Amino acid sequence: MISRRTLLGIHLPATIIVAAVGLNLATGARVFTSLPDPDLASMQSYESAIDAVFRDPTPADAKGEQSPTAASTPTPIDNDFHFGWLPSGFSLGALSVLTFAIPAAIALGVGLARRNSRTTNSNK
Amino acid sequence: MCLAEGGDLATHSGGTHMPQRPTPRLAQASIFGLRSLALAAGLLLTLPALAQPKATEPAKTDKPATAPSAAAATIAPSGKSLIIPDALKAKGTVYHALPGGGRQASFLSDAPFEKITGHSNAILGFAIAGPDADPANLQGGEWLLPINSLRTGNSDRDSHLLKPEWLDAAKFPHLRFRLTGVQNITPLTGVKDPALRTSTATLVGEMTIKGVTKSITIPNATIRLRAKSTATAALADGDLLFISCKFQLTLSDFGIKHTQITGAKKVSNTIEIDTQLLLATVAPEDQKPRETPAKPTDKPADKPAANPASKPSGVPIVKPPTAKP
Repeated sequence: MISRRTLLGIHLPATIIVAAVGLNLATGARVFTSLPDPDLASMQSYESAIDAVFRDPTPADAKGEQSPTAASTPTPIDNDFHFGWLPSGFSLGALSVLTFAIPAAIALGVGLARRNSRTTNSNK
Repeated sequence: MCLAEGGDLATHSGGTHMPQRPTPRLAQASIFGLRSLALAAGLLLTLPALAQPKATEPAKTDKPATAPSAAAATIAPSGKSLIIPDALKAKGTVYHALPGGGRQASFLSDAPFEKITGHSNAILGFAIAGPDADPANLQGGEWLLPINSLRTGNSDRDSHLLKPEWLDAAKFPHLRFRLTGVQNITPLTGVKDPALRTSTATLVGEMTIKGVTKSITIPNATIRLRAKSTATAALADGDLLFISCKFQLTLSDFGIKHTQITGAKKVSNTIEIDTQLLLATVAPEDQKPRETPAKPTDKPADKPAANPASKPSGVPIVKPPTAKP
């Protein structure tokens, strides 16, 4: 049976570190945390309406004239949640892999050091 | 097996247990390890402060900044449009930009360390369309982008953009583009929808950022016009004009120089601008209120690729000509 100390000192911190890194990789491995913005969400909602009126009916025609290319394809509005590696300030952007992993790493280090200490003592 | 004092169940082979003290060497190693971890944690947790952009010396440009060739248009009292000079109004049909709706402009900074995109839907402005036979031959136009309307998905970054070392919103609250002419107009024929008049063209104008004005030429712009209909009424009242173009700007040309550009490589010196500007013959103040369009449940094209190419292809790099003394 895992002792409470081992659970709190080793397993829990290791789980937090793995979870933070995993969340970063799962959300796009960005440097800084970004959260959905209501203004960006509002802009996104107009995209399909504008597409329907202006962007869709421009295929290359029978005469071989090319449709507008780069200008027709707008820059995508990325308004998804991304968990970043680094804290970016003192707002919600401070939540990052490092803000979770550093305290967990300290707790893990303490837990491992104490475990090594007990192991050494029990061998004597 | 025997019970120790206090009722705890304990097993021991006999004799009394004396608590074992860790050896001095092991204790020192543990303390050293803990101190190192604490020091590393302290350094890393100060990253928010270190991430704050450091102000650099004001940029000294070798070439004097050019003054705008015409007085800047003023913002109407409503705050939703610009006051258009009568001389320009007489040249053709006026189309007004519609702030507060869909995205109107985006920027992309693709640096080695980070890729940043930002968007704004708060552009004020107008465009003067050409005659009925050649409406894409725009006779003029001007657009103001409020810097505090830029959204990057990170509120800290949005506030950094306003600082003096970046765009200095306190002194220069807007980015300004004034259209001076249109060249190489090529109407597209064979478009599926006959109500949509589409042309490609080269836009010529002046861009003013942070008080510095540069002439720029934007090739491969697309100008689309559509008369009012039930389809257009979903977007706005009146006839609609849609201008889309992509071009690149160099921040250092406008006096924006920062260690995050040259040193940390978190911001690219070359920024790609993507304009998707919807304008209507009915002014924003006179537009009927509309509900925000429902967000589609599936977005097949909006999500960026997992590993997008670092540089977009086919986007022209607009180099401003040598500044006139």
